[in-house]
Amino acid sequence: MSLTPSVERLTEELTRLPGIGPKSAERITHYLMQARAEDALKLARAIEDVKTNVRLCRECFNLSEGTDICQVCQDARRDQSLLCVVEQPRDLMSLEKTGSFQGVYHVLHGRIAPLEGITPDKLTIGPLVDRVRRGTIKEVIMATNPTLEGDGTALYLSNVLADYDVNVTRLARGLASGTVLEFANREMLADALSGRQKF
Amino acid sequence: MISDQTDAFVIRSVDFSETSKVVTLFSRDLGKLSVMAKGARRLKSSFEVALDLLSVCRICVRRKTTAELDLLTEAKLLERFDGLRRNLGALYAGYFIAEVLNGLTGRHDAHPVLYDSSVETLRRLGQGEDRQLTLIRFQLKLLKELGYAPILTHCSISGAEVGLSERMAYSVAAGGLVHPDEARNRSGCMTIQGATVQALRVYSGETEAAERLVPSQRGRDEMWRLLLATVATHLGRMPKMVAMLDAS
Repeated sequence: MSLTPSVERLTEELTRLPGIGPKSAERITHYLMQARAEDALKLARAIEDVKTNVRLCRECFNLSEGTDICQVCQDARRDQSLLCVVEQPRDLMSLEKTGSFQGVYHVLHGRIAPLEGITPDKLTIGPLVDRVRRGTIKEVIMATNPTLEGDGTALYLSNVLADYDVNVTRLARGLASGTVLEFANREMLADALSGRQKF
Repeated sequence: MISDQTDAFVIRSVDFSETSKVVTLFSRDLGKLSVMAKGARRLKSSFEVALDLLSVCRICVRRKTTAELDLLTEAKLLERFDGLRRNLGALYAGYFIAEVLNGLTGRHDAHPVLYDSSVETLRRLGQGEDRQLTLIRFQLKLLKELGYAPILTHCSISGAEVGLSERMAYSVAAGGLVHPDEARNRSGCMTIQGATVQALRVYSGETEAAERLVPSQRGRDEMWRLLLATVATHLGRMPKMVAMLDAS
C-alpha cells in the first residue's frame, strides 16, 4: 500500500541526503508527522534560512551569513599574514576548535582529483593566488588532507606559489600526542621520523 | 560467499557514506575488484591508511557472486610511493596508470604479470625515473597483457613481412605496421621512423637491451603518440590524465 503523495515525496527527498537510506528516511518522515507542527516547521525554516542567508565569503570562501565577509575575515585580531589552506569549511571548523590558530583561512572547496574530474580550475585557486599576490601574506600553511590527492593538491599549490615571496609550509604528520610507539603503525612512525623537529 | 586474500593497489576511491568508501582495486590474483570498505573513513579504521589512492596493500575480500560490490574485510598496507607526493609529473603519471587500468581491465579478470609491472612502474615513477619512457614501457606491457600488443614484425593487414626502413606506416585501427603497398590505399596511417619501430621491438622484448636503450626525443614522442592513440582506441576516449600530464 502506498502512502500519501506528500509523505512519499518527503521520504524520497530525505533519501537523497548523505547517509540516509530508505528505512531511515521512512523513520524520519514518521517522526516528523508525529511531531508538533511548530517543531517540524522549525526544521523546514532552518533549511530555508541556510539556503537563503548563507553564502561564501568573498575573501576566503568560508561560509558566511548575512554579509559578504565571514566572521574570521572580519576579526581584526587575526594575523592577516598567516594563511591556512583547507579543503572544506568543515576542516576550517575543526582547526578553529583547537583554538591554537590565529591566522586566516582559504577554503578550496575540494581537492585536485583529476580521476573524478576535479581539476585545479574547479577549485578556488585563482582567488588564493590573488590574495598572495597582494603581498600581505607571509606564510601559507597547506592543511589539505594527508592523502595522495590532498598531498597532490598541496604540491600543485606550492608550485603555483613558488613565484611569490611567501613561505609555504605543510601540516606536520606522524605520532599523535598520548600514543605509544609500540602501537603506532609503520607509516605513522615513518612520518614522525621524517618530520622530526629540533628541541 | 567466497573469501580470498591477495595483493592489490587502489585505483579509485569514492566516499560512500559518512564512514564508508567504495574502493576499486587492481589485484594480482583476482583482477579488478570494486569493494565496499565499511568504516574506512574513520580515523581508527581497521584499514588504517591502506586504502589511499595507489597504495599497495594485502587485502581480504568476500566475493559476492550476486552483487556488483564485493566486501572488503581486511587491508594492510604493503607499500606506498612517497616519491609521487613530491613530484607532480610523477603523481599524474601514477593517476594515468590507475585510469587506464580501471578503464581497460575487466572485473575479476586476473593479470598477475600486468599487476607486477604496474607496481614496478609506480615504484620507478616514485624514484624519479624518466616519466615518458616509463609510461611508454608500461603501455606496451599493458597492451601486450590485454592482447592488444602492436604488431611490429609484419603487416597488420596483409600479414606480409615488413622490413625496417627509414619511414614506416603504422595504423592504430589495424593494430600495427602496414606494408607500404597496403598503406598507399589506406587512410589514417601514421608515419613513424624505422628507429622508433626498432625501439618498440626492443622494449617489447623486455631484454637487458631495453634498459640500455636511449631513444631520441623524436622517437620517444612518436612512441608516446602511437601507444596513447592505441590505448585511447581501446578505451573509447582519450585518457583524462593526458591533458594534465602534458601541462605538468
